[in-house]
Amino acid sequence: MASVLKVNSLSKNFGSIKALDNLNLSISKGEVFGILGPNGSGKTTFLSVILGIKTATAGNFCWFEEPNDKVVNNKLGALLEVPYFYPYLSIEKNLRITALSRGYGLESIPEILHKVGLFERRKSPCYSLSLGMKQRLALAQTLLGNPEILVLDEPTNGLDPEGIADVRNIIKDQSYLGKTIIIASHNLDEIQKVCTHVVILKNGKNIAYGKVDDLLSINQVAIIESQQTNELSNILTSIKGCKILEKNVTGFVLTFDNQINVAEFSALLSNEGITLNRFEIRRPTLEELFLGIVKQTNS
Amino acid sequence: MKNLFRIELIKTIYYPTFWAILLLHSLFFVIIIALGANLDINIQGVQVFKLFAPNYIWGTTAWIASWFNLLLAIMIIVLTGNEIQYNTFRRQLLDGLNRNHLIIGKFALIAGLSLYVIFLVTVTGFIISLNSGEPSISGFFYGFKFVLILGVQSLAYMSLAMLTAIVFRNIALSIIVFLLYFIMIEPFIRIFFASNIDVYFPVKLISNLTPMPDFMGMISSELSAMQAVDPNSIAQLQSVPDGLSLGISVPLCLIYIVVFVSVSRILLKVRDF
Repeated sequence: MASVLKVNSLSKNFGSIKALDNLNLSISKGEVFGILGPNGSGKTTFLSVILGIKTATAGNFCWFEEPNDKVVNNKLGALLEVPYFYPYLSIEKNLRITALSRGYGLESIPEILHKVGLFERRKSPCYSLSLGMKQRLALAQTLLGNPEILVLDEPTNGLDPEGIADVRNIIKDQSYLGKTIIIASHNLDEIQKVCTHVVILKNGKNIAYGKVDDLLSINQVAIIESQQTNELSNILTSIKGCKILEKNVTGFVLTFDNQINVAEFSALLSNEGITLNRFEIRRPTLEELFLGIVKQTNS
Repeated sequence: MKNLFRIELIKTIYYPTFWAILLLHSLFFVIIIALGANLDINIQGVQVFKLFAPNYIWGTTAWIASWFNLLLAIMIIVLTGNEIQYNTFRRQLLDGLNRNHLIIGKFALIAGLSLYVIFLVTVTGFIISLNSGEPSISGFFYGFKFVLILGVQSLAYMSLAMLTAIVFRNIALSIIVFLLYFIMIEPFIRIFFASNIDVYFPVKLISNLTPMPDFMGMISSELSAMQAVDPNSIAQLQSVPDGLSLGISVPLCLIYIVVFVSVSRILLKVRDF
C-alpha cells in the first residue's frame, strides 16, 4: 500500500531532554495508526514535528513522497493537544478562519457543524463553550474540507461518554472512507476499538510497533488465583518472559510471551506445591500489552 | 493572499478591544484638534488656533496624531500577543498557512491601520480647514506630505510593536518593554552617543518624522511681515539642528520597517510553536 508518511531517524531535543530519539516508522494509506505512550513519552512532540509546528533536531520525515519535512497541510486535518481558537469569535466564525486558511469555501461549515453536534450553538462565542464542546469544535476544524489524513491528539479529551462514542463513530466513518488516521491517546480501549496499527513510545523511543492484531498475539494474559501468593510471586518473578501486571490479595494478572508452554507452566506450579484456585488464559487487551511492554522496558 | 486579508479582518473586526482602542484613538485625536482649533491662547508667541490655518494644518494635525501612534502600537501588541497566547498562530499553521503568511497577515493589518490614520487626519484636517475662515484652495494641500509621512511613522511604530510582541510573547510584558524602550531605554543609550549619531536611533528617527510645528518659522513670517525684528536673528534661531532631513529620515525609517518585519519573520520561522 502507498506510504503516506515515512519517518527516518527523527530526533527532537529540548535542551538536554531527548523528546524523540531516533524514531523510524512508516504509515500507509488507509491505516488507523495509534500512538501510545505514558505521559512525556513524546507523542505530542512527534505529532508537532510531523505537522511542522516544531522543527526536528535530527532526521527527517516525508508526507506523500514530498521533499523532506514539507508538510502538506492542505491534505491534513489536525487536532493537537487542547483546542485552539479565538475565544471572542463564534463557533461559525472560527470555522470560517479555518476554511479560509485551508483555501476552502464556506459552504461545508453547516454540514460539519451538524456532524459534530454544534449547529444549534453556531452563533455562541467560544469562551462560553464547555470543554467537551470545544473539543467538538476542534474536531470540526479538523474535518473541515474533507482532508485525506486526520491527525488527532487525544481527540476524546473532555468528552462525555456520548461524545466519546460520537468521536469513535466519526473516526470509524472516516476510516471506512479510506482516510488515513493518526491518533495519539491515553484511552487504550478507544485505540483498540479503532486502530489497525500502533506504535508505543517511551522516552521518545519506539518500543513496539506494528499491526494491533500481530502485537496482541505475541503475548498472552493469565489470571492466576491462589492462597499461596507469596510463594507464587517468587516463582513467577523467576520465570523468563513472564511479567506481573497486577497483584492483589487473591492473585495475579500476568503477561507471558508465546514461547512459554501453558501446560509446562501449569506443571511447574504444581511441582512447586502451588494450588491454584483459578487459572485463566486469554488474549491481552491493548492496555495489558501496553503495560506489559512499558514494565518490561522499565526493568 | 485575499484569504489572508479576510482572515485578518474576521479576527479583528469582531474583537471588542480593537474597537475600544480605535474609538479612544479617534476620540482623543478629534477632541484635541477641535479644542486646539478653537483655543485662543498664545504659546511661544503663536496663537494656537493659527497652527490650524491652511499653511500649517497638515504639519500640526500630523504632529498631534503622532502622539496617539503609541495607542495603535499597543493595539498591535495586544492583537499579536493574543495569537501567541491563544495558540491561534499554531492553529493557523495546522490549517495550512505557513509562517510567512502569519507575518503578511499581521503586516496587512498594520498597513490598514496606517491608512486609517491617514484617513482620520485628512478628514479632520479637511473639516478644520473648511471652518478656519481662511479658505485657500491653492494652499489647501500645502504641507500634506506630513500626513503621508505620519502614515510611514505609524507603520514603523506598529512594526516595532509587532516585533516586541513576537520577541516577548506576553502582552503585558511586551507593552511594558515597548513603552520603557521609548521612554527610558533608548534615550538612556543615546546619552552615550554624539548628537550626529543619536539621530539614527530608531525611536528618535521615527519620532522626528513628524516634528513639532515650526513656531519659529511662524513667528518669523509674522514678524517679518511687520518688519519688527532683525531677520538674521530669526534665521539663527531656525538653524538649530533638530535631526535629519525628511529626504534622509523617511528612507531610513522604511529600512527600519523592513528590518522590524524581517526580524519578526525570522523569529517566527525558527521558533517552535
